[in-house]
Amino acid sequence: MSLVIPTIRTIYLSFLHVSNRSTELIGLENYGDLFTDKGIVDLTGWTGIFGSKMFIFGIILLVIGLVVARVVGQKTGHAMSVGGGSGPAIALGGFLLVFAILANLRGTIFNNIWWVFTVTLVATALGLAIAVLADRARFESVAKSIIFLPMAISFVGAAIIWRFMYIARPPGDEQTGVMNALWVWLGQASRGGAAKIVLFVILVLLIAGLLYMAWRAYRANAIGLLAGSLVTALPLIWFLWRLLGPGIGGIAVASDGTVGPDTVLFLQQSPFNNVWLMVVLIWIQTGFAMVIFSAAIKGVPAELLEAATVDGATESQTFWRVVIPQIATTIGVVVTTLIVLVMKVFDIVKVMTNGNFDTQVLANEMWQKSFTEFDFGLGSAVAVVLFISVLPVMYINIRRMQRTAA
Amino acid sequence: MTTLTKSSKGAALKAGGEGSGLGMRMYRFLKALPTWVLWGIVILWSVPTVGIFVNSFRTADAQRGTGWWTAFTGGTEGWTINNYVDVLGAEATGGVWNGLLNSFAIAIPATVIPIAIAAFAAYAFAWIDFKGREWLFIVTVSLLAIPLQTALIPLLQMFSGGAHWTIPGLGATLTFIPDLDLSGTVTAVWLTHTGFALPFAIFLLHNYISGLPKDVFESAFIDGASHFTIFWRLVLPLSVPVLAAFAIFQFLWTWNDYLIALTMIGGNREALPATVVIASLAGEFGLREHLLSAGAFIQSFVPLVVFFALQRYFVRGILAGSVKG
Amino acid sequence: MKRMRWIAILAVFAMLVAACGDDDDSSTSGDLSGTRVTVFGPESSDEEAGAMQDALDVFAAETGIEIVYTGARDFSEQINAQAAGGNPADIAVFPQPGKVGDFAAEGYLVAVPSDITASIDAQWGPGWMDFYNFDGTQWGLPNKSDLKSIVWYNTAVFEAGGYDIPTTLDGLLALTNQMIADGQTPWCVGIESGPATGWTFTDWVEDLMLRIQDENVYDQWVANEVKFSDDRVKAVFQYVLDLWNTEGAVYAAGGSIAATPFGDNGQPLADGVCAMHRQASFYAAFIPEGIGIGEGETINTFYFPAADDSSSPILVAGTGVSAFRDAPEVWAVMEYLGGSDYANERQNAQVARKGGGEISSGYLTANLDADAGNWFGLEKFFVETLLEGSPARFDASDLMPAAVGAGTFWTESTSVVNGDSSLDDALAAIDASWP
Repeated sequence: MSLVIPTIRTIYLSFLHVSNRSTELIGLENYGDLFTDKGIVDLTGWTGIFGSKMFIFGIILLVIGLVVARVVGQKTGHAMSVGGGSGPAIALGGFLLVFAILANLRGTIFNNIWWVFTVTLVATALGLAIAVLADRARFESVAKSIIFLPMAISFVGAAIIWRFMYIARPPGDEQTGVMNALWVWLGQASRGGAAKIVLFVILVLLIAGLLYMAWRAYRANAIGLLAGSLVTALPLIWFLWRLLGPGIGGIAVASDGTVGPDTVLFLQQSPFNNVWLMVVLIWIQTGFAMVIFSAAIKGVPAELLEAATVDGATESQTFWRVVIPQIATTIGVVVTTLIVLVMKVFDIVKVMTNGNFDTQVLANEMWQKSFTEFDFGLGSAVAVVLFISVLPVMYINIRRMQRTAA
Repeated sequence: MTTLTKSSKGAALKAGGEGSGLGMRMYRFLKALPTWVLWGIVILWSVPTVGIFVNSFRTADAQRGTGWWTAFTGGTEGWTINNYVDVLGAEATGGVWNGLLNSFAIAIPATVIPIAIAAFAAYAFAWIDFKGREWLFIVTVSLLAIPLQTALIPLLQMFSGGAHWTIPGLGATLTFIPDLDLSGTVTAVWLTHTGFALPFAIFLLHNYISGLPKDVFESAFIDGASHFTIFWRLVLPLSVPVLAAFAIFQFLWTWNDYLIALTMIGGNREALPATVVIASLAGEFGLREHLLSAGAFIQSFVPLVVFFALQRYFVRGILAGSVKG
Repeated sequence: MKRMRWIAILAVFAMLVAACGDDDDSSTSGDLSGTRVTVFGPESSDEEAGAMQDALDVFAAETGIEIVYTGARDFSEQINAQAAGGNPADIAVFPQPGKVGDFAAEGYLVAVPSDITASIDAQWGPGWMDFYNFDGTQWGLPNKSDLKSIVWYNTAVFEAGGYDIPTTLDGLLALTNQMIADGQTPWCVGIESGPATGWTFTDWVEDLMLRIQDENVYDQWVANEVKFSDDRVKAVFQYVLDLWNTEGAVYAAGGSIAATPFGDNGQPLADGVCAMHRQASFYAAFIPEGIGIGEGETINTFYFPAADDSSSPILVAGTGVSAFRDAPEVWAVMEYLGGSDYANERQNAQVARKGGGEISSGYLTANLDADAGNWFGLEKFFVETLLEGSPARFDASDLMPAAVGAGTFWTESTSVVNGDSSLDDALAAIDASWP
């Protein structure tokens, strides 16, 4: 294989100090340099975890999910049950929790983990959802083509596209980036005028609908639905409160009390600039997950689906109990591929921030070390770290595949 | 499809319970919600692309000065097709048309060859018993984890000078790979792509092929079919959806690749693919960067055609039908 | 034990060395027709790369050498990969003299033969040949020049406010404060430039290093004999930061200085939102179409003033050509690329490609023998400044090792400008990264 030799060479190089004209074996020094660098591992911000809204909301969700699981479980005689909406609540709560933790641990390595965690999960979930939803929708191919489109656009194109999404102008000027234009518009709208009324009505209607659902669920003794609608209503109520109070969106209150527009510097404000970079990769990779899942779902034997319908299974039951087990290995493949791919994320970061503003990732670090600074030893050490950190994922996955095959 | 929607209606009726008017309507709305969510996502997904598409028809100053959505209210001012004219007429880095031809010369072999090799390898890993199968498979697939950037220079060295090793002290030189002088050629690019594609291709195809029903193979064996016959007559036809999926991705990746092509081809501008040619239009310091939006669309036209052409292979029932028959 | 042996064998594989046979190219020159020379460089847009090729075609027609120029946006990284991979072009056009030094030390380059050095040397002003001279050996020849010590300004704003062109650095500072007092934002600043974000900040620092300090400190600083954390260097950084952080001094079209692509400041400058923009000679290409540039037009330029009348330091940049292959046809092309014939042909071709007439081409040279009549308007002034300015110093970030010059010097500065780290921390980090 053409890849084996480069790999071994890289491992070898990572023990060397390569400089002008001389090459010297220095053992693990490169690795030592790597892990003591504050840019690589930085734990100083860990206290910030507990103050983040996402962390708190995640905990609330988790607790609610667990309580519901316990209550539903008691009815069926189990300790816990993922029925009644507790499963999604626990999943989402857990996701927010880990997300909030990773947002506060900085440095290249944690940043990379944050990337892998977020992009893999979101792209897989979205890709699966779209594949399933599009499977039964009208204009299936239109929907799928549009989700797929980002994959067809080269990285050079994608970088330009997202620059026009994120770009900011000084707060008082006309915004030319979509995101900031929307943000400033939202800020203005929430300060008054017809748009505020429309926003208000929509929010009130949504909250009322959710509360009505909660009430019906309470009457029908569907605890999961009750909890679900209440939890969903919470952030909406918060929005409503913000709308009536200080307003939402791009608003800045100056020291003299006057209110002006405000912008977000999406690519400069750490740590969430990382998330805006991740959005680009999610935008691209969801199409990948969707296509693979689509093919897999089409491969689920029609007889199985018919049998489930005959047995009176609901749509969601069919999905969770028939489709998901059938495509389980495919999910494994997609997740593994995405983990590896995100672990190696390079182009987006290089083109959009080049690791500035606390957005460095391993592959770009390696590129800078080897190709810009010409330090192949240190660059190779980063590559080896990258390679080794992916190995467990590969191993687990392959073992699992072997087991199912056997 | 129809069976699913029918059953969902039945479930809705059942779950609607007492069936009061408002409750039913609420329930119907919730039932339809996923479809609304789908179209919401679709719209969200297309906003960036629509924006750049509009911008690709605007002048440099208009792109820089105002948001693309204002283009519709401002009349004809700021609209132009010159970006496309400039991109297609460019000649400095060998020209876009030549670049597109090179892209084909790279992407087609880099798609077909890995599929051919990987399909058979995946079949072998899944259904042929040989010593060390598991080990070999693990090694093959873990090669997925190699960052592309680390392998570039060694590969380039191999392409330009072959691989030799002079034994210390003896002065004798072993040649592992002869000097093929491939650097700067399209061949070097698709060879590299093939190497990088194989682990993923084998991984993906193996997952699918190993999941094919066992009885199909057993009955074929009993009929005295050889591995080759089984592969050709059974495995390939049954794997069409996954082959199509992989073909789409591999074509896309190789078509849109920038780094490998630029590194392997370097200063030989006659062989540069469209990605490099288009990226070069912008020049230093983002000069003439407004051309890139038009370039992006010219570049993505071919992958979209490929996607539409291969999409029809994702059809339900290929597998089920043949199992039954 | 068996496993050990495997590891040993693998280690052997790991040490594969690519050995290229060296061909004997010492055949004496004479008829070069039928030979082929490849040139690889950073200029890639249709106008620049096209004009480069046009100029090379003229020479190709004279000599019969087939010359192919390829431009790539990621030149700096690609040339590293190609040199290390054993596949560089015959001639590379380096935007960074520091890289020429690195490559010479790595043994990738062929030194320029002394007869060619001698013939080109006479054509360039003091210093220009020295940029590519390391340890007494000439490794490259100057090819193109850029002038960085320029302030672009809006003439209407200057007229309306009755402002005069400052002639000293203190005068510039006074003008800045005067404008702030008048409610006019003096400066447009942006340092965003994709992967190279931060370089416009470092240009400010370098230009001021030549003014607040002097060229000797500058040279020592480039050689790392004066550290970044040295008070003299720190003072210059602080000067720039103080100026930028003065309330009302800077308009940044991207919301903050670190978020603003420097090219986006052309429009606000033309609109008079800000009065001045310090940027290199090539900035003409970023002024919106239809806006007049030059004497009596909407936008004009002045020399970034010196500390006093005693000197007129200029910060310059540019490209130089170096050879990877030792062959008579390569040296013939090298000599052409360093000479005045090339400069004239290139300028004429670039003007023609930009529409012809008396326009700004974006190409400048400090070649003494080039026909000054080929440059018009502002660029005539730039060429004169290039020839007269003294001392002339090359952009420091292009001279320092890449880890600093194209690395921490940019990134750490960016994080200071963005308020993410303190100046002391940043300077210490830059020092620590010096290889």
